[in-house]
Amino acid sequence: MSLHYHTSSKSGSFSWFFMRISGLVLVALVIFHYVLMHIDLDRGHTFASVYAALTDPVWGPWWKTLDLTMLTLGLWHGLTGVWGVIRDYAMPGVLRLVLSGLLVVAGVAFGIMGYTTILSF
Amino acid sequence: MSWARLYATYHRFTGSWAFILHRLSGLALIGYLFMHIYSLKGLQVSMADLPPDTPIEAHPWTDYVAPYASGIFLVLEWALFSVVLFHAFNGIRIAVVDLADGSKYHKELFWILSITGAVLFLVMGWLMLAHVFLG
Repeated sequence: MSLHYHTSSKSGSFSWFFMRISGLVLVALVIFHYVLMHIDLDRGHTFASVYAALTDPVWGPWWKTLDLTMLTLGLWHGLTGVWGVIRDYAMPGVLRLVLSGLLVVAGVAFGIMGYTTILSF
Repeated sequence: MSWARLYATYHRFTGSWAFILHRLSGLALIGYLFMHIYSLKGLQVSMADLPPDTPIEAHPWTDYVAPYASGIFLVLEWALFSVVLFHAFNGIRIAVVDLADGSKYHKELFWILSITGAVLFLVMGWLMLAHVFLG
């Protein structure tokens, strides 16, 4: 029975499940982020320190992977959350479509902006 | 809806307040994420784009970001941490309720996480600010 609901693409069960899992992963990633970036202010607050980290022959690819993962999950989780807020309010279908479209456009635009920044190193 | 009516509707249940604060903090965080991505855009300027012999310390992004790593912005960053902390901890509570039978103990969990969060907030404030303002 539960399998029936779980496999329905229209039930929203995937975004429900995804929010829990991505949220927990983001909690783990954000701990790394805070320990790395917000205790020692010399890290990540000058071009030289960012350049040194992201072009490091050993660690560079790992930092990039961490940053790309955080960016992807953060945007996806955040915009799915806003989508959930939109779905909670009654509004004309056209407005709902426009707002949902704006979310996709914002996600793609800021995703590309972030990916470009990380991969420019 | 007036704040008084909102209060009357929600104040009896910890979970209702948690829901509203989770929503507001989530909206604040996606707004911050957009600003954050935009503010790092200046890193795309590579050293090759600058005049020859420019030292790496003189990259324009370093000057651009310097004000945001000092003074009042460090305190605001601590405030942002409290928003992240609330959203993260309440998110953990939601995941536990939904995936680990947490509905049986979610109120206790709320207060345990609240106290842990308050302690972490103070500890992080010390770690983020003490070495800046106390030398």
